[in-house]
Formats: sequence, structure tokens, C-alpha cells
Amino acid sequence: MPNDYDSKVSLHLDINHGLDRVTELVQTRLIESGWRDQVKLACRKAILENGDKHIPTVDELIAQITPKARSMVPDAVKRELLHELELILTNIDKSGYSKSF
Amino acid sequence: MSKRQKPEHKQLFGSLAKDLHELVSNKQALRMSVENFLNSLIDEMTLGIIFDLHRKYKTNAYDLEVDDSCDDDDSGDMDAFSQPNLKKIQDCNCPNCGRAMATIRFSSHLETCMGMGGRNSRSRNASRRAASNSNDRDSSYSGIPSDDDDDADWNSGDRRKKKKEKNGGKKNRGTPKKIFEPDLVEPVNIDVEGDDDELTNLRDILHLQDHSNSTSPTDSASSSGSIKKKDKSKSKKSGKRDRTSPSLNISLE
Repeated sequence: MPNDYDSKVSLHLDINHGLDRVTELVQTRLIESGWRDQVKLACRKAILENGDKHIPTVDELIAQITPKARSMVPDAVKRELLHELELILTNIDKSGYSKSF
Repeated sequence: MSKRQKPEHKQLFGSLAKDLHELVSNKQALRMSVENFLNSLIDEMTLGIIFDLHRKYKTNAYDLEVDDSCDDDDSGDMDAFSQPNLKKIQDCNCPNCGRAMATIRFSSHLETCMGMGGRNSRSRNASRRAASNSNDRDSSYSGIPSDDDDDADWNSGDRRKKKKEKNGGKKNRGTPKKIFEPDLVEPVNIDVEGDDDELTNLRDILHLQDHSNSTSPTDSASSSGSIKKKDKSKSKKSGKRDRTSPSLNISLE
């Protein structure tokens, strides 16, 4: 069940034409907070550490960087985004499911 | 949309709405789900950044030793248009002269080096080679232009024909290519009025002679058909060809 939560949220948002707005909102907030630049820096450092020997593979980079990237998200931004998502879902539930259909 | 599908859609949407309501009503479940959703979005963005940077480093778009502060201004080997340094891209070696050059200029260099580009693009060496090849062939055909020269001077040949037709006079232009062997030529009624179009006609005949000696008569028939086409095109311009074309066909067949 816990594995299905994120897919359920994306499903409900997609049906109610909210998925694009939500993704755009999350992206703009993360870019404004500087999170994206920090992740880029971390990527370059990870590549330059092994730069003389060889460029690390994509899988190695993903394994190295994704936990760092999650921890680098500012708490304030994360709380704000969580709160806004909950509000959106409750509004969809209150206003009626998928009015356009 | 059929009528049957509408009630099915309604049932589906009803179940989805119930599911959402249950999710929203349970706060802990809602928080967990929203947090997982946000984490998946963050992971997607991270993957995009990793793929982008990995590709750039792999394709050498960035110099590995550049400081991060200088990325906006310049990055190592990249010029103002963020393209890799051209000096590194000299992979082509000309088979003719052996020079190394960029791929962008390779085709134009070949045109000049090998003499394939046209009139103005021939270099001295290429023209010498072309001349030596043409001389070898001229000796066998006694002045008849070879196929290579025809191909090379195709445009120039058309221009000459046009000029000749415009002039329409008796000007023999002093070309040494008029020599032909009368013994081999069968009697052909040709108007000896000195039109320069005759030269091309004679050349065609001589071509046919040489081909007919070596090849089957079907080839001569096909070539005579080609002569017919040429004669027809010329007959529109000068009405003197009608006499010649049927006689040519009869003699060769």
C-alpha cells in the first residue's frame, strides 16, 4: 500500500488537470531556492574526483547524488510544497471530482 | 462516445472520487502519499541534471579543470557559440595530397585537389592530370572528345552549341578535331554548307562507327535512336536536318 501512494496522488492530480501545474510549481520553487545549482555543483564535483581516471557512469552518479539531492532540499521549501499539495487535493475532493468529464 | 460507456465512466469516476476522499480524510496517509509524490518529483529533476551533465562531460563540451565560477563566462575549449574547439577536429586526410584538414573544408578541398568541381575550381596539378588523360584518349580517337571531357565540359558544350546556333554561319573554328577516316565512313548525304552543327553530327557518326565495329547492331540502333532525338531537337531550329536523318538511319542499319 505505501508504494501506491505517490502513484495515486499523481493519478488523481492528472485526472483533474492538476499534474502539470503541480510539477511546474515544484520546479520553480526548487530553482528559486538554489537547489538545482547545488545539485549541479555536487554532480561536477563527483565527476571531477574521478576525472583523471575516468568519467563515472550514469548509474554511479545516480547512486551517489540522489540521496544528497534529497537532503539538500531546504526544509522550508519542502514544508511549503507539502502543504500546498495537501490543499490542492482537499480542494479537488471538496469541489467535486473531475468536473470536465 | 456510446451510451454504454457513459455509465461505465460514471462508475469509474465514482470509485476514484471515493478513493480520493478516503485518502484526504486520513491525514497520515495523505502526508505520506504527498511526501512520496514530492520525492519522486525531486528524483526526476535530479536525474535530468545528472543526464545533462554526464552527456556534456562525455562529449568534451566542458574542460574538466574549469572552475565552477567561470562557467557562465567561458569554459575551456568552448568558443562564444559554445562549440568545441575546431582545432581538435582535424580528422580528414586527403588521399590525393595527404594534407590534414577539418571535415567542413574537406569537400571543397577535394574539388580543387582532384579537379572535380568545375571550371574555376581546378588546380594546376588537377588540370595537368586531366590533360594527360585526355591526350591518351585523343590519340586513339584522333581528336574526338572523350566521355570524361564531355562530362566535365557538359555546360560549356551546351553553351558552345547555343553560340553556334546563334551564329549559324560557316565558321570553322579551327578545331583539330575534324579529322576522320573517309574509308570507314559510308556514304552519307550531308549538306556541306559549313554549319557547325555538322561537327557534332559527324562526331556522333564516328562514335557510332567505332561502336558498330566492336558491338552488336542493336547498340547501333539504340544509338541511331539517340541521333534521331538530337536531330529532332535541332530540326526545330534549322530545317536542314530532315534530309540527313533518314539517310543516316538507312546507312547504319
